[in-house]
Amino acid sequence: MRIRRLQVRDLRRYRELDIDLAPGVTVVRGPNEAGKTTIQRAIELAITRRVTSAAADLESLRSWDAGPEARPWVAIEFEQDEEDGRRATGTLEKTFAGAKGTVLLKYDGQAVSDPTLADQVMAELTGIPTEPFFRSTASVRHHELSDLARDETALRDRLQASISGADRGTGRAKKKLERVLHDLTTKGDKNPGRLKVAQAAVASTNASVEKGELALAQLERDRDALSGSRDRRADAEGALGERRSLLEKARQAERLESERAAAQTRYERFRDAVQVAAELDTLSQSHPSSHPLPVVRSAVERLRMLDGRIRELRAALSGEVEVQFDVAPEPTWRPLSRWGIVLVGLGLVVAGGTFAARILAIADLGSTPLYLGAVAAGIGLILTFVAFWLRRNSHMQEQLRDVEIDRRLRGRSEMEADLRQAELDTTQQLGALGLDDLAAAEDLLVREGAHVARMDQLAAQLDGLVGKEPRETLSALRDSAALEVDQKSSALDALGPIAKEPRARERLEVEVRDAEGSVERARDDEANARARVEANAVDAEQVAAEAERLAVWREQLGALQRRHRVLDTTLKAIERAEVATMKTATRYLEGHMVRDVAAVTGGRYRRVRVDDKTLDIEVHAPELGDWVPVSSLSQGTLDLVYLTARLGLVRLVTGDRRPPLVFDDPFVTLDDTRAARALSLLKRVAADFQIIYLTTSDRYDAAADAVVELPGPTAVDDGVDDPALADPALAGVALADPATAGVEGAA
Amino acid sequence: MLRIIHTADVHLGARHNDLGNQAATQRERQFAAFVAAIDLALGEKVDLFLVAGDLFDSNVQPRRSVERVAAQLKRLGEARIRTVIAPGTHDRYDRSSIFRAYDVKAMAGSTAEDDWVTVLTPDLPSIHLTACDVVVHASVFATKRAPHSPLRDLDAATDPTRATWHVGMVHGSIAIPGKTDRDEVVITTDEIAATHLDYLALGHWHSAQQGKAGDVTYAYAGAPEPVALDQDRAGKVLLVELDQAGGGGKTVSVVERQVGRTRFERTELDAASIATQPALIDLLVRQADPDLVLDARIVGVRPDELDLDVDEIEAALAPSFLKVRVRDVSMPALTEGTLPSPDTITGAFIRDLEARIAELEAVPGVVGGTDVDTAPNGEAAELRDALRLGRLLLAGHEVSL
Repeated sequence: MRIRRLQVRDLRRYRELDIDLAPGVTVVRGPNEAGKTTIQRAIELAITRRVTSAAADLESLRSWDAGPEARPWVAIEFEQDEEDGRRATGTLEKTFAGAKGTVLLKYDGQAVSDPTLADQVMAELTGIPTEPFFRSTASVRHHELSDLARDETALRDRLQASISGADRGTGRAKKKLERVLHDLTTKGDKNPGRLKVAQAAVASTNASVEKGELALAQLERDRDALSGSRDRRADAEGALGERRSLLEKARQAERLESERAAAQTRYERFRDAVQVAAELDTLSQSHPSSHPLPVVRSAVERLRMLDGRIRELRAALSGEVEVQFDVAPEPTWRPLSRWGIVLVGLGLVVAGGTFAARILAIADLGSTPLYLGAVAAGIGLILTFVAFWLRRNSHMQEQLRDVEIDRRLRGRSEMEADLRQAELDTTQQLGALGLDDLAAAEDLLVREGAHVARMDQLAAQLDGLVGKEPRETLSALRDSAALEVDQKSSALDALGPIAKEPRARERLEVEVRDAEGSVERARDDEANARARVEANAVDAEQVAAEAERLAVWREQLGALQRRHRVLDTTLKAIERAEVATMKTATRYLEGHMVRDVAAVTGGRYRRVRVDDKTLDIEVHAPELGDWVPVSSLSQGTLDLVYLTARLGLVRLVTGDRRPPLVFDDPFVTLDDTRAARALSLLKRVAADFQIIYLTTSDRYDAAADAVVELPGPTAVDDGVDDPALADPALAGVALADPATAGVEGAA
Repeated sequence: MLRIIHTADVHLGARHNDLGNQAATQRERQFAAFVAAIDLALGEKVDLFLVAGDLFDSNVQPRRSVERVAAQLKRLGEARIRTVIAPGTHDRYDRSSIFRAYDVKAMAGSTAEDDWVTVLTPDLPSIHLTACDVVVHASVFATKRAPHSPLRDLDAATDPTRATWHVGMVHGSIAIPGKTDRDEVVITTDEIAATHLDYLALGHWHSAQQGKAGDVTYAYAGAPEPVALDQDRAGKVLLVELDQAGGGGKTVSVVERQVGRTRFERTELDAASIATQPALIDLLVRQADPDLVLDARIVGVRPDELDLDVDEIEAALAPSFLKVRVRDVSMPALTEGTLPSPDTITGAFIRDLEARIAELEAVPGVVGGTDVDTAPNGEAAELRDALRLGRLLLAGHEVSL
C-alpha cells in the first residue's frame, strides 16, 4: 500500500492538515514540535486503530484548541498493487469518537463502514493488524541505529524486536514476566517469594487446623467416653442400689423370720400354757378326794397303821395259845475264838523263836519255820474275827427273844383293847374320808396322789412355760403371739422371693461388696474420663478461625499458583514463538538480505549466515575465507547490514504486503557519509515500499521524491514578565536544534 | 391463646470459610440474632420459646458458648417464659452431645422440679407444660440419620395427655423427590397431617417458609442469621399464635419477624460493561452496606484493556461492606481482527495459544469464554489469560502482573 494523500483534523497540533505523499520516498521535514510524529501517529491510526476505540490516548490526541465536540479525524487516499498486477485505489476516513466513531473505506468499488470489517480489510491490505505491530515493523525509529557497534546484543535485540510484532520487542515482555515469576517463586529464607510465603502459610495453618481438628475429634471421643462412663456409673450405682435393697430385704427377712420364730415359740408356749392352765383348772375342779392329799395321806397312813395294828393284834391274839421256850444252843463263836487265839500264839512262838535264833546266832533253822509260824498266826487271826462277828449276831437274837418274851408276858386284854380301839379309829377315819375300807382309801390316796401329782406336774409345766405370768393373760398373750406370727409372715411375703431364698443375706452381702467395688471403679473411670475432657483445652471457635484462615490462604495460594501458571505459560509461549519465528526469520534473511548486503557493500559480502537462536549475522569475508560476525565490520557496513536485515524482516512479517514504512529519522546519529549510504539503501527499498522519512534535517531532500515542509509552532507564552526570556532569538533555538530533539515524539 | 417464638438453626460457632477475616464477626452476629430473638420473646411476652434443632453448629462448641446461651435462656425463665429445645443434626443427641456434656437446663437456672427449660431427648420425647396447657412433642434420635420418620406413631388426637394444645418439633426436610432422598431426617406432608398437631415447628432449612398439611400448620423458621449465600429468606424468627374461638375452632397465626442483620447478595457484572477497575469499584460501592455480604462475579468476555486486581478491589470495598468477594470469572476474548503474521513472534504466539485453546474448548463440557462456572478454573481459561497477557505485553501495554 502507498498512501498518496494524508488529511488530518483535530489531531494534536493540527486543526487541519492535508499533505500529499510520494509513492517512493517522501521526506517530511520540520523543526521540533512541527508535528512530524503526529503524522506518524495519524498513519498508525488510519491503518490500525479501531474508530470505536475508547483508549485513553485518543483523548490526549485531540487538539488543544479544538471545540469540546471535536474529535480526531484522519483520512488517506492510497494505492494498492494487487496480485494480478492491477493497481487499485482507495480512500479511508476515520473519526475517532469512542462508541460513536465512524469509518468509511472505499476500495475496489466497495464501501465499508463497519469498523471491524474496515480494519480487517486494512490489515489485509497492509499486513499490519495492530499498532504495536506497526511500530515494531513498519516504523523504524531514530534510535535503532545508535550504538549498534558498541552493543553486541543491540543488533540482535533490535532485529528480534522487528519480528516480534510487538511494540518494543519481546525482551521487555520476557523480562517483566521473568521478574514477576522470580518474585513469585523465590525460595530464599530472607526474601521468600509470594508463592513460598503462601505455601508456608498454608502448610503452617493446615498443620494448625489438623491439630485442632484432631483435638476436636479427641474431645468428641472423650465426651463419648465420659457419657459412657457416666452411664456405666449410673448402671453400677443402680445395680448397687438394687443389691442393697435386696440385702436390706434379706436382712429384714432374717429379722422377720427370727421374730416370727420367736413369736411362734411364744405362741406355742402360750398356747401350751393355756392348755395346761385349762387342764389345771379342770383338774383342780375334779379332785378324786374332797380332802387335800396330805389329809388323805395322813389318814391312809393312819389307816395303814391301824390296819397293821389290828392285824398284829389279831395275829397276836390268834397265836397266843402255844408258847415254846427253847434253850438256846451254845453259841458257835466260842470254839472258833479259842482255836483262833491258840493258832495266833503258836504262830508267834514259832516265828519268833526262829527269828530270835537267827538273830542271836543260836541256830539257823531256815525260813520254813518262820513261814509256818506266820501262817499259823494269820489263820488264828481269821478265826478270831469270825468268832467276834458270830458273837454279835447272837446277842441280837437274844434281845429279840427277850422282847418276844416280854410281849407275851403283857397280856391278851390289852391286846384286845388295842384291837377295838384300832378298829374304832379305822372306822372313824374311813368315815371321815367317806370310804368303805382301807383299799378304797388306798385307792383314793393313789388317785388323789396321782391327781395332785398331775396337777403338780402341770403347774410345774405351766411355770416352766410362762413363769409367773397371770393365767388370765395367757390367752391374750397367745393371741398376740399368733397375730405377730401372722404379721411377720405377711411382712415376709411382702418382701418377695428373696425372703424365701435360703442364705440370701450371705449371698447378697457378697454381691453388695462386689457391686460397691464396681461402683468405685465406675466412679474412677468417670472421673478419669471427665479429667480427659477437661484437660482438652481445644476451642472449636479458634479451630474454626484457623480453618477460615486456611481457606483464605488456600484461595490465595490457588490464585498465586494460577497466576504463576499463566505467567509461565505466557513466557514459554513467547519463547516458543521466538524460537519458531527466529528460525523462519533466519532462513528468510539468509535468502533475502544477501542481495541487499551485496549491493550496499559493493559485492564484497555475498554470503550471509544468520544464527537461528540469536539472530547473530555473519558474513563470509573473502579475504579470510571464513565467516565473521557483522559486529566486527565497520560502523557504516554494520548500519547497512542492520537496515537490510530490518527491512528484510518487514517483508517477512508483512507477508510481502508492503505497508508504508515510516522512518522517524533513524539516521539522525549518522554522519553525512553513513547517512548517504543508508539513504541509498532506502532508495532501493523504495522500489518495493513507500518510504516516509520524518526528519528535522534537510540533508535527505536530494534523495526524496517529495518533500513536505512543516512549519514549526509560532505561539509563544507572553504571560511571563521575565527579561531573560525577552530575547526573541530564544524562541526558535530549542525547537530547531536536532541535537536536543529528544526521544520519540520529538515534534 | 398460646403465643410462641419459634426459631431454629442458630448454628452458634458455625464456620464461614468464604468470609475470611469477617467470619468471627458473622459468628458474633449469629449470637446477636439469637439474643434478638430472646429480646423479641421478652418484648412480646410470649408463653413459649421453641428451638427446633441446630442451636449449636457442632457438639464440640466451647463451654462459654453454652454459658452464653444459658444466660439468655435464664432471662426467659425469669420472665416466666418456658423454653423447649430439640437437638438437631449438627448438635445431635449422641453420646458426645453438647447437651450431655453440659446441663443446659441447670446452667439456665432451671431445676428438675420446674419446667422453665427443657431439652427433649430420646428418653424424653415430649413435655407437658401444664402452665401453658400445651404438650410439646419431638422425636429426638441419638444418630445423625434417623432410623425412621420422627412423626411415626405421633398422633395428638390419641395422645392420652390432656392439654388444649399439641405442638411438635422436627429437625428435618419435607420430602421432595429427587432432592431430599439422601437427607438424614425426612418427613412427608401426609405424615404431618396425620399427627393432628396444632402446630409443627420445623428446623433444618435455613429459609423461612410456611405451609399446611391437612389441619396442621407447619413452618420453617429459617436461620435467625444467614449462614451462607442463597439464604435470602433467613434472618427471621416466627411469632406463632394459637387461639381457640368460643365454638372450639382453633386458629394458628404465623408471622415472620426480622432479627438478623446480615444480608447475602450475589451480583453478576458483564466484564464488557466495565471500563476500568476504579469504575467497577465505584459501581459496587453504590451497594455499600455494613450488613451486606456481597458476592460479585465478573462474567462474560473481558476486554484486553480491562485490568482487574481482585485483591485490590476487595481491599478498596472492604470498609463499605461486611464482606465483599469479587470473583473474576470472565474470560479474555480471543484475538479479534486480522492476526499478525505467523512469522512474527506475536503472530506465532497468538496462533500457538489459540490453537491450544480451541483444542481444549472443543472438548464437551468446556465452553470457552461463556461458561462462568468452569472458565476460571480450566486450563483453557488459563490459556486465555496467558493469551491476553502476552498480547498486552507484546503490545507494550502496562499490565499488572
